[in-house]
Amino acid sequence: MGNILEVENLNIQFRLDEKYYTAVQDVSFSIREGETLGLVGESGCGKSVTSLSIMRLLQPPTQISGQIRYQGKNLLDLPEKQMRSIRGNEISMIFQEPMTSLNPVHRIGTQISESLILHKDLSGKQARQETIRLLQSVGIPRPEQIVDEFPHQLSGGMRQRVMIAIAMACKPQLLIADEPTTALDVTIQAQILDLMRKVARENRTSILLITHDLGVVAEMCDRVAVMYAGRIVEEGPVRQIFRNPQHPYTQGLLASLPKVDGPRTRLQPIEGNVPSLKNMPQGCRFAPRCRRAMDVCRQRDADFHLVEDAHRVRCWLHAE
Amino acid sequence: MYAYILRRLFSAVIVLFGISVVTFLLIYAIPADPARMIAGPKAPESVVLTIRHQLGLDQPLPLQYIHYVWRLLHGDLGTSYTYNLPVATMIVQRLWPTAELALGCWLAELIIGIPLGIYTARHARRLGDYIVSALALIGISLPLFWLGLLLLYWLAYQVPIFPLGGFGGLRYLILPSLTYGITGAAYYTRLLKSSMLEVMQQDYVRTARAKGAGESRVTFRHVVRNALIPVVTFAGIDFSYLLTGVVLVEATFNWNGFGSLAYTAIQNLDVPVIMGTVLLVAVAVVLFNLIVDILYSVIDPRIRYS
Repeated sequence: MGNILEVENLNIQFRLDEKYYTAVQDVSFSIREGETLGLVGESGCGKSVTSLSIMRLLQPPTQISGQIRYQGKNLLDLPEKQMRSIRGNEISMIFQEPMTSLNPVHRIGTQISESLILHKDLSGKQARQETIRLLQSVGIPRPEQIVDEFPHQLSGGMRQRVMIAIAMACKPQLLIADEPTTALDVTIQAQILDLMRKVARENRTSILLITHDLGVVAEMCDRVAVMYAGRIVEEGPVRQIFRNPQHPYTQGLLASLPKVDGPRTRLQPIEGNVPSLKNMPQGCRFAPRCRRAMDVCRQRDADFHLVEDAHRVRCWLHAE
Repeated sequence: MYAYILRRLFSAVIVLFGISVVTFLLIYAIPADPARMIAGPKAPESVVLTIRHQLGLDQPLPLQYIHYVWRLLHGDLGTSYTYNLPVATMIVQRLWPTAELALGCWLAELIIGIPLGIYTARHARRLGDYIVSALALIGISLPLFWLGLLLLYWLAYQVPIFPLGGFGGLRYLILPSLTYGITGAAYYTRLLKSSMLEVMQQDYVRTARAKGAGESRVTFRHVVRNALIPVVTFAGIDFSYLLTGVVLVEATFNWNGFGSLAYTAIQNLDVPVIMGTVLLVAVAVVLFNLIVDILYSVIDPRIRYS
């Protein structure tokens, strides 16, 4: 199986007060056909920015360098017109906030069929039929009625289903889901994750799942990349990362999860805060919060070291 | 919805009643005597007394008001002191020219202001935005009569494309509308621009882009429609204001409209005409507020009245 998406040495800088600050540095990862990759990290670590840059939806003033190759083409080099024919068609996206992600003045059906009209050569009638079928496939009851309703008439879970229907309308190769369940009730979260898995399998769509929730990662992903302060610090198959985390940050994340079984122990938080864009530490960005930090950590950031097959970590503790 | 409209119309009657009382009282609070003004400053007191009696002005104020309302309910707005014509006839005669002028001025504002609003929002903080915003500011600061005279001088006198004022067909309407449009468009431009900039930050606009919609589709289908509410509010207020007569435009372009009728009526203390014009203005304001509220629910499906 080939890679559907390859991100290589991605750097993203934002301009704030006349100066550029690096939000994403040297990020590389790839997603195989049909695979689900989790991109995990705290808020502000650059995971949403990374996902928006794949869609080229970041608002200027930003500077992006590196490569984002989709089926061999570097998306960063494509003219806007070609990029538009990829957005919503071959790569689509769902967002965190279902309550505000749908346009309040258009009917549900209109918003779903918009993708179909933009990318598939469908007549109005065909688009409507396809829209009703899509609504049915994302588990919306009474699709013939819902198609003519407005977003405010639906609950958050239903709206996220509609967002999934919009994203899947053109059977994309890659679905980017940016915290798709964060704003939902826990019971609804499980339903939405199930639904995403189902539609992705049916259409053989790869998923880039952005989340801060390790539970969601364990549930959904084949592989996971952990981001901290704009860099990927550890990457590998989900099982290995959960069983054998190598980076102190990943270890800290897992230790801060409550365990249902076993003796009741205190949760172990990671001390300190995520550094701000304007105030990045020298060397390894996690060093100020790392209990095992050494002198070298504060001077230079580590390179990736291979732990096992396909499991790599950016940490001096693993340097030979 | 219909129940809502009926309720609004019912409350409108109460509003009109209140306005009629206040206007009536205000006119009589003015220390001037209509009978004396009709008779002239040199007329003997006996003539003034006769006129006052004829007009019923010697009766107690509450009784005068009751008589006025009684006649009003029978569709009689009274007779003009100055012209001795039924007020209803005078108003109806002026109503059409004023409605035409109001509509012309209003459309000119919208046609100039809204595209510029969309343009400045799409080019926010770029050169085009600065140029258009500067032009709009100049437009807003121009004295209406000065711009009107300038347009008349160049486009009606030097190059006689348009008539030199007066009321007639479409050709007569263009210069006054353009004058008002240029000075008033900036309000719409700014209102729409700021509203659009706010909408552009919304998540659903990002969703539209993520679907692969192009910039103009995003602007017109997703942004403008959501940004219209404040513009519609202002347009409603603006139009009812215009209907009451734009005295300056009417004066500059020699347009015999509602504004000049009201203006001369106040000068002559022509009470029945003042009352008639004020009531009509009140009706217009109430009516257009209702239309605006109904338009809200057309634009934004979340707004429902019951």
